[in-house]
Amino acid sequence: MKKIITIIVFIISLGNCFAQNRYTISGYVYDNKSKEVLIGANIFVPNSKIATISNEYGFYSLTLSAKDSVKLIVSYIGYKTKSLKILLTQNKRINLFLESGIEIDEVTVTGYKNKSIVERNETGVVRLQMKKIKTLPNLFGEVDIMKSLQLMPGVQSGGEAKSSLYVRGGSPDQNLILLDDVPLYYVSHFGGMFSIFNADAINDVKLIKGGFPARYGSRLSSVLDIRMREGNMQKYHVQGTLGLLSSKISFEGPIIKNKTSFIISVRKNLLPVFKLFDVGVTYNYYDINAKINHKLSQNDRIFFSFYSGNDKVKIKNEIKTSSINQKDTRSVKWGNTLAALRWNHIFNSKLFSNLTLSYTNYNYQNNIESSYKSDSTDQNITNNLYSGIKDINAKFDFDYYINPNIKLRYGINSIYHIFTPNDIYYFQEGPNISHIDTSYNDINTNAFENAVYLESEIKYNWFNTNFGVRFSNYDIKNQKYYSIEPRLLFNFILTENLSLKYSFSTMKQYVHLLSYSGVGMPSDFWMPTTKNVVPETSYQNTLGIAQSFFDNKYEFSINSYYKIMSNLIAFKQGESFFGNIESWENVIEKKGTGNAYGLELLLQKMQGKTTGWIGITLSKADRNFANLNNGKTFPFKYDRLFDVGLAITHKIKENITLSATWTYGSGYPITLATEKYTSSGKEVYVYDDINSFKMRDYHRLDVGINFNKKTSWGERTWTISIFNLYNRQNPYYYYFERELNFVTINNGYGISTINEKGDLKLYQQSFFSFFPSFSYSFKF
Amino acid sequence: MQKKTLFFLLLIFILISCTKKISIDLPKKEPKLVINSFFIPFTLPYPESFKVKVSQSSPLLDTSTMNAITDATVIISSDNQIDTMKYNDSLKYYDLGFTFPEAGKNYQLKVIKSGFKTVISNDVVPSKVKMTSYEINPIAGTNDCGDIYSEITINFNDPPNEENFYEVEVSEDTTFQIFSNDNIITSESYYPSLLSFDAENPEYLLFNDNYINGEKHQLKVFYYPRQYDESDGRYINSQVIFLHFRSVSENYYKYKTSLLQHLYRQQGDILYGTGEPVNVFSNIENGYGIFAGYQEDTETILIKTIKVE
Repeated sequence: MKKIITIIVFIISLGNCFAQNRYTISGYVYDNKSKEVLIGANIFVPNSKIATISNEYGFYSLTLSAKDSVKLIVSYIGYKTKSLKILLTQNKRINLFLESGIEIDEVTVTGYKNKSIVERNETGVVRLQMKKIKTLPNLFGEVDIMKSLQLMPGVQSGGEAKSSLYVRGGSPDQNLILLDDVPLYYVSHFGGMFSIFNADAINDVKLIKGGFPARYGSRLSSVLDIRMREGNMQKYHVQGTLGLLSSKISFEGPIIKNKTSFIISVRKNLLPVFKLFDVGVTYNYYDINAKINHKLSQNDRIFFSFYSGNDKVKIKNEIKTSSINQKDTRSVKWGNTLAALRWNHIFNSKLFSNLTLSYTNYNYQNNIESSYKSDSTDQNITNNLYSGIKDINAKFDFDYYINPNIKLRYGINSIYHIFTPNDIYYFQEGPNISHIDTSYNDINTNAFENAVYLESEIKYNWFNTNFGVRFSNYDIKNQKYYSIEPRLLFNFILTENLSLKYSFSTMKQYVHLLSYSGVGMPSDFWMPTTKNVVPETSYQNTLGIAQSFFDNKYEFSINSYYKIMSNLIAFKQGESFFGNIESWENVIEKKGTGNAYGLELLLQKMQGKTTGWIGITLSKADRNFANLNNGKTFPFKYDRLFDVGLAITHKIKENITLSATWTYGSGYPITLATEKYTSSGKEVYVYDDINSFKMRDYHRLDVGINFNKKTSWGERTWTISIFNLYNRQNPYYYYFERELNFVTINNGYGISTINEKGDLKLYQQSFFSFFPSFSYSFKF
Repeated sequence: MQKKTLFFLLLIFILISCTKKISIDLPKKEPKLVINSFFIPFTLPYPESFKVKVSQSSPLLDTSTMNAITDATVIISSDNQIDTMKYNDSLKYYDLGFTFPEAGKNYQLKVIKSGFKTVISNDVVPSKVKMTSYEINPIAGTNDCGDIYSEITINFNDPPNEENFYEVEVSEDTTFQIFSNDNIITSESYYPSLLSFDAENPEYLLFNDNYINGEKHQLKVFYYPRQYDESDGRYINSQVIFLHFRSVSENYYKYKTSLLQHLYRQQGDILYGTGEPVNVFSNIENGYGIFAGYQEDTETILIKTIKVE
């Protein structure tokens, strides 16, 4: 640790070496109305290579040679480009304010180019513009960032209308999902149909599929970095949406004008659809996003972020007569809670830091309560299962802008994991049953996960790099693991509009997910790395080209990747998450391996009345476990050879936006039976190799239209969406069943018709045919 | 529950789920011999000798009927004793007359039939664990449809220092579906989840001694007895119930638990889908099926007609 501190102090002191004859301009980039920060804004000197972008907190720093004056351009998609002249005689703190609403291709600014995909020191990164996402077609009137990401190359949904992400042959647990820097462990509502992220509360979304910077770790396949909005510093605003399955409302504004702001968003299913039918089933969910942002001084800001979301399904039966009162209640509840306190500090114009202290809690509960009361009996049975993971996290990150060509990022991270693999409580009492009051395996398992990283972004005329290394350590019950995770990214700028990018990443994952991959209810059990279950590892190489054209209005990239995964886990054949969780190490196959490789093409139109993208993926992914499939390698469940995602948004008028998305994918692999026999009087099928068959191809067109109107009280939007416009019956799963034949028989009393089981046939189950939905949004 | 399942299904999947028959080319596989044989030492009142059923597998979508194989050579051996079984035409299986299996002995089975690969298998009869006591409560509770369920409490001592596998079955002229809240049952992978809306309770409960090794244990199981309604209320039929408490071999346990899992996965669950398919465990080399030993402690329980108050 002493060595690490020495290195950090040395790097900090390096800044002074570059101070002579050069001055630094630094500050934040803001929306000029709301005074919220803008993440990823371009700040550059026209007709030069000198440029930077604002970081995750809107901070920028640009060091320039001493001159009388320098011209700076500040641009951000969806905002009016700003040009300013600065007298450069000393280090300056300049906060930049951009005006929203006018796209950069609609104004005439010459002599500069936006920082394009060619220059960006990254590969396999997908960014979503929240304004555009809100106009895309949706299901049930609910805008979902996860579904938009699924249209990108290299990302699979894992099933019709699901909001999971399967990135480059990885499973959902291999995605590090960060909300304001804090990991979330479960990110879906309503049986996985839409994500917990409320679009009204989100500022920025970035998905990294490869070429991982060293500041990210702990997962194998992707990083989804989501930043919440901070709230308007100037005025109070209310916005809301009424939808079929959920409604939401956000309230934001200043607590102290230009100093402290807040935002709170609440989303809930208002229509008690199940209650309406009085069938004893209730399904409720909610989520709350809240954030307070306070400027302590010119150099210090603090943020407090809070998220809480829960889903609960309850099935209740009650029989009440004059003599008997019987109740049976079954419920499943799951959710996340997150709280984070962050402190941004600017040490000097070149050194920015962020300290995050956070707590995150994922829990899953399955409860059964049964009571039977009569004149002679009073019987109660309770059976509860709890599983979860809690993290207490401390993270200290530094951005050090040595000069426009060298930037260092370094930091430390320590997570204290508290795992509750399962906590079963069983209680029964009554006159005719024995009294039992017991707990099984009420044991928490605690572990420390620590990491330190160093990342260096270096720019040369034709050559950009991001070298980094991450040292991680994991400590559980005297079992220690250490790991060195090198990260490399080279960006060779071949021409002004063309670059070649290569990256290599080693990733480690110390938490494991046991999950059921069926259709409905989620059931995620997070398990620790132990002596027997070692950390999962991946090595990923990527190679690609990036091109921009028509003044960066269009971006095109081809990326190839090859990823090797090891120490994967899977359930043993026939085992599942129910019941056996306390001996989970015995019900899983360990030391599995996986390979994923593919080619991804992405063409994006970033600006103009018509925007959108088309993504095409050619890929293969497989798995191998010694005791599964007789040790033979088999295709990954969501291996899709060919995949297309298309999203288009067109502004017909200033207030009307039309959008469409189309997806196509070759069939997912499936395991099918090929033989049958009779044993113990039952018909038994013999299944062939795992995932050795393919389902039918998948395709679907969704369309949407948004009518926006400014009113005397504010703004309102009607959104109409049609899911699966041409009513394609896409396969969800296949199953075998015997046909039912109607047979007419004379039973002696007359003619009657009976059902008789006929031949065995293969059936396809589809969900979500043509389905229109609408929503009403307002803002004032 | 049917009504609730229906509505839940309807709403969750937006009233528009759809099923379609499709065709697919499945690779043709060579048929294999299928063996079905459970053997038990001499047990009164119904002693049974070895019996072995032999049939064959067929392509999945084959529409022909699978008839039993009656002309195979079926050999049972143990130590130095080798016996060839004869096909019993009336009972439709191969048997050994009055030769009974013995506890603790390992038996080998070999079945030869032209046109098929010869299959072999072996298993042992496990030691017997008896019930120390049992109790029945015919009216233990009612479900949401008003049906009465009965409770049977079984006490037994699990032997220490050995791995034991058990099966419980309650039968009359047919076998009852049974269920339990005991963790040793609910923790078994085959046992239907609390959230499996569509799953029926199994007709036998299997468990191992992982949680109770060497301990006394009290197991409670429930079943729905035959019952009927009269104008003055509900009655439970007078009936003779057989309670079977079996000590089974590991192969027996693996076969039957995997068979249950296999059958549940065939049905699927509307909330959880069909899940990953499970192949049924087999200890038949070059074939399918089971050859497994067990011991049984059976109690006969007489229940008189009871009016439910």
